[in-house]
Amino acid sequence: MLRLSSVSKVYHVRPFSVLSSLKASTAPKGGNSHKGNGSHHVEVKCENMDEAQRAYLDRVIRVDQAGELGANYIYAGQIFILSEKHPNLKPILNHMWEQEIHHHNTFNTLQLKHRVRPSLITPFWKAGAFIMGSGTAFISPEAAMACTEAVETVIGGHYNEQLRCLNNQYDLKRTDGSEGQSDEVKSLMSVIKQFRDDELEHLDTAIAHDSRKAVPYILLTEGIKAVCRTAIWTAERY
Amino acid sequence: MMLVRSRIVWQRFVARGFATGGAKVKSPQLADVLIVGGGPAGLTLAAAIKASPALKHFKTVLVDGGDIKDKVGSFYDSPPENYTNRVVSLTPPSLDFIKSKVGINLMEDRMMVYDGVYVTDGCSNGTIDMEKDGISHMVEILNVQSSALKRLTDLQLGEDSFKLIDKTKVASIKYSDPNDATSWPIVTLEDGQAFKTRLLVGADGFNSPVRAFSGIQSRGWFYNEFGIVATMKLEYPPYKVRGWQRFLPTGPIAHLPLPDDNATLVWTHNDETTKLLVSLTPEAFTAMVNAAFVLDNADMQYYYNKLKEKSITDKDLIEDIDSRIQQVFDNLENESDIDECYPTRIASIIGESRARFPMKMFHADTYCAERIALLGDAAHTTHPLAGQGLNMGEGDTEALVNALEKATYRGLDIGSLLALQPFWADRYSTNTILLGIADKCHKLYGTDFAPMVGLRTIGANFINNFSPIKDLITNTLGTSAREPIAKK
Amino acid sequence: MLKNFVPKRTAFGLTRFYHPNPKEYVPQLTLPPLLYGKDSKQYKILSHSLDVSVPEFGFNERAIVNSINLLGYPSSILSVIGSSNTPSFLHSSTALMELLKFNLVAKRYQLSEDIPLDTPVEELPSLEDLLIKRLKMDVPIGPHLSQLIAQLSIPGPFLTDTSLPELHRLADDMIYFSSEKDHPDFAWYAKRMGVSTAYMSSKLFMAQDRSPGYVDTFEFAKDKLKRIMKLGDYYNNAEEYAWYVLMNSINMAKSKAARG
Repeated sequence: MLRLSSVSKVYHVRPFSVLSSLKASTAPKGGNSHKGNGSHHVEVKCENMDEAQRAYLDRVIRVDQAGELGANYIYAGQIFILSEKHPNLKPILNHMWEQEIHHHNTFNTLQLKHRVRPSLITPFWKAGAFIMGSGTAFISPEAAMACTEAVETVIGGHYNEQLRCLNNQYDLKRTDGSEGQSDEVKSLMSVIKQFRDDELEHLDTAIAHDSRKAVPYILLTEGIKAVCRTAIWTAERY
Repeated sequence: MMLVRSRIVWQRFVARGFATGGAKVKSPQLADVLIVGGGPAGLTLAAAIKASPALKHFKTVLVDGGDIKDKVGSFYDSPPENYTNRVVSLTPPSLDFIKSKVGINLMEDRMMVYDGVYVTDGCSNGTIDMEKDGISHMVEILNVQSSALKRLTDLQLGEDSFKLIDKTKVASIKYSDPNDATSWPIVTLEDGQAFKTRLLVGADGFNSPVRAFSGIQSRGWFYNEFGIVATMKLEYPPYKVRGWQRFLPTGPIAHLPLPDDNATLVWTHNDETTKLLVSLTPEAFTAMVNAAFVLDNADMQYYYNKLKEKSITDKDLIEDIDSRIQQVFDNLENESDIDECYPTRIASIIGESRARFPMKMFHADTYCAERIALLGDAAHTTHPLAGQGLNMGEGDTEALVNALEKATYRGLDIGSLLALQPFWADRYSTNTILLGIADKCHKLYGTDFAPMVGLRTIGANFINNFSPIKDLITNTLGTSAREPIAKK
Repeated sequence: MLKNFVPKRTAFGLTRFYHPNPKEYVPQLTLPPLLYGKDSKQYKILSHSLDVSVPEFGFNERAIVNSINLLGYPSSILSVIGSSNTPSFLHSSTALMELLKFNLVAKRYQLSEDIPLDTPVEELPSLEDLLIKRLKMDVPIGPHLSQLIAQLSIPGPFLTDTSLPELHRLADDMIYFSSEKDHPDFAWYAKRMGVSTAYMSSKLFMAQDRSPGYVDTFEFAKDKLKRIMKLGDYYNNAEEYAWYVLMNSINMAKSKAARG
């Protein structure tokens, strides 16, 4: 408050502009510019994100981490039950599981790097996901595929929503006058895009492996979709 | 005319050349049983298969990355004078299988039978004295390996019956039909040889590539401790030949007898201290081992700190330890207790025999998958404190051979799950029990929390005096839980 | 639309946000949760009080006024200092509340200011080092610690909005900037709770410690931290063991069912 008023004397910018301090400090000092040979490289910086944007990113990382943890444990449960009696499914299940492990590790790294708190009820997600995976696998392999189909449908839609929001609500002003997302939001978006594509590929695989032939199909898929949506809602907040 | 003919022939030759061209890898040779790993379990299995009338016609290949033919092969005929540091305890059922069923002649003069185990607590005077004549034998691992190899060489098998490929690692394993997990696995070696095998046996240790290929999960944990092994020379041969184990809160220390005045040591401790101990001079290390069996944890911590800061010379250390040990002995009620309650003092350590390895406990979910069987450390690893590691491995080998024999008599494909599952069903619960015993002991004695120490001392003394339970434990350990426990 | 996502109040009295990568953004002008930055007058006055006046006068308004006078600022600046705090019956003045808040926040930032970004994990200080460093920062105000702790822990809005969140942020900073392994699951919470406990109990010990140079406090702190980390290990081992027993029992049942 006391400081910015002195800055606004130098520049004719709106007071309280976050960029004004940086412009003041990187303004070429008289006499250096014609001596300079372009080595004085000014890094372009974005304005700071506001509270709402950071709160949303916090949620995104937390819920995605919990989601991938759930997917990881669901596949682990399915493989645990199915790998013996249905060895023909082993390669495809292992492939999907490995991808989920990679997704989970990516979000773990992001969560630790950006100091986001993980979901409070993580042990519950671990146990629940494993039970859901092994439970549906116990019913039949088609039921396991139906579970995968349901989960991946919900996750695909969920990622799409996140991408929409990140695309539209994160335009930040930069010091060189341009506008757009910061690099880290862009990289997060590309990560989510890639993962969404992987999840939709899993969805197609599950359908190709007779998920529609599961016996209590509507009950299973709708039930699991409801469980997933509740889980997403809870993980976002807790 | 000739020119045209030869041109056509040449074209055909070139065409054929292109048709098969490019592939540097030779097409895979067929095998019935491919054993990856030439450790004691793997070699015993190979010998058992070749010695069994039902199984000897199976083409067996054994692959190992280390030196088997020279190093192991020469051990039988010209063994070194000193005992090697990798020594295991073999119980009567394992020995019975090795000697009678497989027909292996172990090097008896390098084995030591002992008549009991004396287990003490480092935090109190809780003692369990398990006495049983011939409870177990101490055998060097090279002894088992080389004797098994000798058995195989004595059978004088041709290359198409048994092939031993050593100094070659496995480069890759894949299914011959990538979409079919029941197809024959193709194992490609570093030198380009490839084998398409009916049954792939993983006897390749904890980091088993066969287990990784099979996708079988192994569950357990690392103890964050390391074990030091060493060969020791005693002051005099002991009058009562038994194994000694003292549970310190930092990890157990075990002294196991070898022929004459030799003994072997397994001392478990954390990473830092084991590094420190391995770096000491042999004389200082000897003194520390003697101290570990007699003095209490506070004294030992004092010595570790002093050694870490390098603020005590070897001579002072040895003198201090000697005087403290003498104090403890002077406080005993009768002098004969010295020989009864403490192991024979160690005169020296064979310097280069000190080695360190990590301690862990892992158990695979299942021991067999379609066309794959796991054996030994690949299936389960344990803490050596109960002396059951190789016994479990030999038990697995025996069960696998039995399952394969039964399958062959019934005309089954030996690689099918139907043939292999009885082996898993047979061994899984036994191994679980033995792994559980070792793990629980480790957990129970791994703390110096006073109420825990009190409880376990009461328990140990109770067991020591109540023979039915003591006999039960002794028999379980002495038979590796093989005979039905109801039969005593 | 995004405004809906700002959490109103969470269970631990702390609203956490995503921490963006500092390199890509314009540096912040303030030190959140403070409303002023390092070059501001408020910062100068309050850090001067902490260094010079509080050791002499304790945690009260007199210390702040003393610093204002020594630095030559007009005395009306006292109301500016306290302006962001709601007056409360439980604390003597808003300026004092700001001093207490400043004490916590400034020292927390000091903890990590000489650790450059992108330091590899092996070169980071250990958790024990950071804990001792933070305790050492309070040595100049040592005689007044019990007063400080008493003021910070009076039940009321100040406790739930300032003191407790700052404690949690401190534990988070200590773990983040140390070489301590961080976990992406429930252990994240448990570890921070453990470090907060270790810190608070060491602080309470320090308030009544009369040993020269507070050596007893540092010994106590190291020992307490070791014990708490061991508890964490016990929990991890217990969870691992429970999971193993579950898997093992299922496998046993399967092995018996498979023509056993």
